Amino acid sequence: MLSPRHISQNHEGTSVMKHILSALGAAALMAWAMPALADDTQSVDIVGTAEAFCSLPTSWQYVSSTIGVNASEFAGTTWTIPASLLADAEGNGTVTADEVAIRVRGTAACNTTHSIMVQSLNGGLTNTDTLSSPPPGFENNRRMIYNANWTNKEGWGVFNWIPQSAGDSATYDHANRAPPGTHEFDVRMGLLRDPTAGPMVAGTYTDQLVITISVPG
Amino acid sequence: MLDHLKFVVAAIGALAVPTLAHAAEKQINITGEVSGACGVGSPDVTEINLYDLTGPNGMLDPGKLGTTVLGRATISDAWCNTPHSLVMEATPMTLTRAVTYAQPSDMARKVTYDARLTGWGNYPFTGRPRGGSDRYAMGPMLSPWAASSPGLVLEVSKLQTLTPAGTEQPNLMLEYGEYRGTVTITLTTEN
Repeated sequence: MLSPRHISQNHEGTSVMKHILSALGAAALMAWAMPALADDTQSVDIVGTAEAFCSLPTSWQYVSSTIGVNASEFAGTTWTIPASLLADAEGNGTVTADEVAIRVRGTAACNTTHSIMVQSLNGGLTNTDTLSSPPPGFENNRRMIYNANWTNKEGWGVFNWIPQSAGDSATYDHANRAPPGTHEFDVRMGLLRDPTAGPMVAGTYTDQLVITISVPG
Repeated sequence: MLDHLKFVVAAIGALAVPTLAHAAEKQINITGEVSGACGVGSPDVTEINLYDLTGPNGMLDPGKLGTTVLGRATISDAWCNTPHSLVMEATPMTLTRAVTYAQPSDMARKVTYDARLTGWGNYPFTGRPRGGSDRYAMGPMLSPWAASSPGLVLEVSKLQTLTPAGTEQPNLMLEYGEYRGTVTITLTTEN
């Protein structure tokens, strides 16, 4: 703005015009010098998380077994081994290289790396009534052999593991392999009929196999 | 103040004298120009968080498959004072962590979604990214436009898993990790 005092100090019209034109020119230059805001952009990210996830079968179905084992021996989560496959009528443990085994299967899932731990609570097929000290000259345990693995995936699980003592465990680490997604999962349980040092203590022989699948914390 | 006014009148009178004497006339043209431009203000959120994407079976949460709006962002001030186009570029939500193995065929690393934009033109504008960066254009619009309240609104809904080729396929398990996509809105002058 030109103040009245400023105008009063210019006594020649052209001089005033020069000042006005000069001011306009300056204003025009300023306008052109402004950065052009021709286009404008903004971005928004859309984010979400897929949580690490693994599950084991909620039910198991009989798949196969060795000779002498029937599908009917498996129900729910229990395999009942006929007594005749364990010992003879005199109580002597059956000794043979022929393994007694059964395979059961269910649907599991995992979307990430994970670990599979199997644990034998009794350390094999054991008469728990005499767990701590069977009478001298008697046996109260038969060895078991276990698999717990993703079906038809070579090396993806625990294979041919023989527990040595009560509470013994084995763990498989999936590491950097691709996750299985939704996939069938097998458990194979086998009874090893090794030579024994004496007759077997009468009673019920049991083992509990606990399978735990875990994702990294 | 009165003194000053008198002084000014006297000065103008003095200036007018030479003009009358020589009968000269000067014309001054004053012109200005307003450049065509568009402006997009900052969104109220720069991240729409959909949190856990998965249901109990590791696949997409069924509650995120439908038309229910899962999240929104609002740009309260967006305008163009000249003919223009609006361009929305969007990328699928993609697993951000690096993985060393090939993608399993029954699993997904990408998720598409509806990116629905309202407040520009007379109709909603929806993109559904399935490729690397899909581009959706509205326009050219021949008239200036300014988004009225609440402004330019981006809404996200209708998630679905994608195959590596970018085909929508339901019931794929999501691989573990964070997923992130980006929606970019650009207003471009046409002149």
